Amino acid sequence: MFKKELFTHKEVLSFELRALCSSQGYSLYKMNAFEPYSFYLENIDFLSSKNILYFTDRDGTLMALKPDITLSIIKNLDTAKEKHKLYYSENVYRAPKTSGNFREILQFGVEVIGRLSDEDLFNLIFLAAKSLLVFDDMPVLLVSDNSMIQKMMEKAGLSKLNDRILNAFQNKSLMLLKEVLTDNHADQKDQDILASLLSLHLPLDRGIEKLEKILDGETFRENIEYLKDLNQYLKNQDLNTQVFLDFSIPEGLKYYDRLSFVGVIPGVSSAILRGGEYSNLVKTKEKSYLASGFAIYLEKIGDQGRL
Amino acid sequence: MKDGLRIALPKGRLGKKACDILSKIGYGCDEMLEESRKLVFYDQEKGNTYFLVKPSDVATYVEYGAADIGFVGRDILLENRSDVFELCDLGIGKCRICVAGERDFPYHEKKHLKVATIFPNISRDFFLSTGKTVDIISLHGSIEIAPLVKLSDVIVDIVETGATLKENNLTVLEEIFAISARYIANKVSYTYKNREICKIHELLEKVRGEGND
Repeated sequence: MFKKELFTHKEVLSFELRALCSSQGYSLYKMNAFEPYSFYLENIDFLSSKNILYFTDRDGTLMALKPDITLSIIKNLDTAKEKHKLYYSENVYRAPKTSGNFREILQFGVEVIGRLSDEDLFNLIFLAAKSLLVFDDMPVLLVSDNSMIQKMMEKAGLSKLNDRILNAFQNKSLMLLKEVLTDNHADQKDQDILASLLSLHLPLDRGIEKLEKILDGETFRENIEYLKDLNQYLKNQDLNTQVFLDFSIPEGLKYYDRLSFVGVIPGVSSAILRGGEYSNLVKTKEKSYLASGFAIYLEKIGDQGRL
Repeated sequence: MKDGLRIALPKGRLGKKACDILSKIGYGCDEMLEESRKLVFYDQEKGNTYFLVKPSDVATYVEYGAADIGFVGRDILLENRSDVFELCDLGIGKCRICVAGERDFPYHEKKHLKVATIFPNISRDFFLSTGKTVDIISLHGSIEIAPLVKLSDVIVDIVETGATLKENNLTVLEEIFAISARYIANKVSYTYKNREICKIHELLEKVRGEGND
């Protein structure tokens, strides 16, 4: 019989998340083998922590203690299957900014990869929003459309991977944004639009209305329609999580090529959930594949509850 | 106690200026302006709590959620690579981060430099972008001595008027960037206390527009 008191708080949370994913048709992925160290180095930009713990295997190959699960899932994907809906609950090995030393961290994650419909991608975002309710009854999911920022940056004559612009968005720094745009002689109208995007923080439906007012309809029509469809999908679900549109999260723009999102709860000082659509990463694997996923950082919750 | 904002302020000169601005926009409390060793102040009326902390720690209090908002120099944000929202420029505490050294030091010809600084990250990033290789020597104060006693070739430090450099026979060799105090917010607090944080932001912009600087 399942006795809650026999498990740590993190384990109980993990079980609740597993039950939720199962109910949405996702199946458990277990990572049983180590990956070569070089594999993670090739994809270093995708990793939140750039330090990797490695060891020499018996045949002399340099192997890594897993810093991440998503990359391994993509690498070992069975391409004969049309669609993969997976979740995992695994220990990863990272050196967090706060400790400096490596730690074993229990991470929960969900991935959907394959020939996907918009509904598959929206269902994953719904699952992210719903997962947050396991931790708190007042969570907020913040959604950003990274492709929209990329399009705007290109329109303003900037490289889509301009790190200073990304920093400006990540820190909601209008000062830095203005500095970079002025340096690059960006058009005043484009500067105003980028400033509006950077400052935006509204519930999804009101955020979409605002986007329709500030953006050129034709260039961004596809983006806005996609967000509208997402909003409608979430409205049709039984969901108590608030969803906001906020462009301060274009972290990993190289990989999260369309929507990205973070989940926050009161009392925990940084996001406990991060994810997004990373189809570019799987395009080399299988041309027509799309992918999206998220990870939940259970260590931020602590064993007894909040930190 | 009301669940108001927790506000981190730097002790010292910048803190006094920040308190003045806060009182102009209807925040802060009288007790903070009095001479005392007290570090935490509670504003009964608005329910806000104010902490006075070391200037270099303000961003840390905000990043880790002990404070919702704070006032901090841009130099600290860049050096600590703080993960916070940098909402507006307060227009106070204006100065520059510069490379300084002895007048006759051939700075532009040197490809490799020994640099003494209290800003190792800013210095490393800057010299990397210029193509010079550097040895960084981290110090905690009185940086101006370093080139004089041949501990370093140059220093990277805050320059306000340049008077301290002049008194020590040093000069600015290159400006890295201008700095001033910033209004910052914790990223999660920004969602849960958005109305109050944005209200302060608007009031600060208004005061700045009225010629605070």
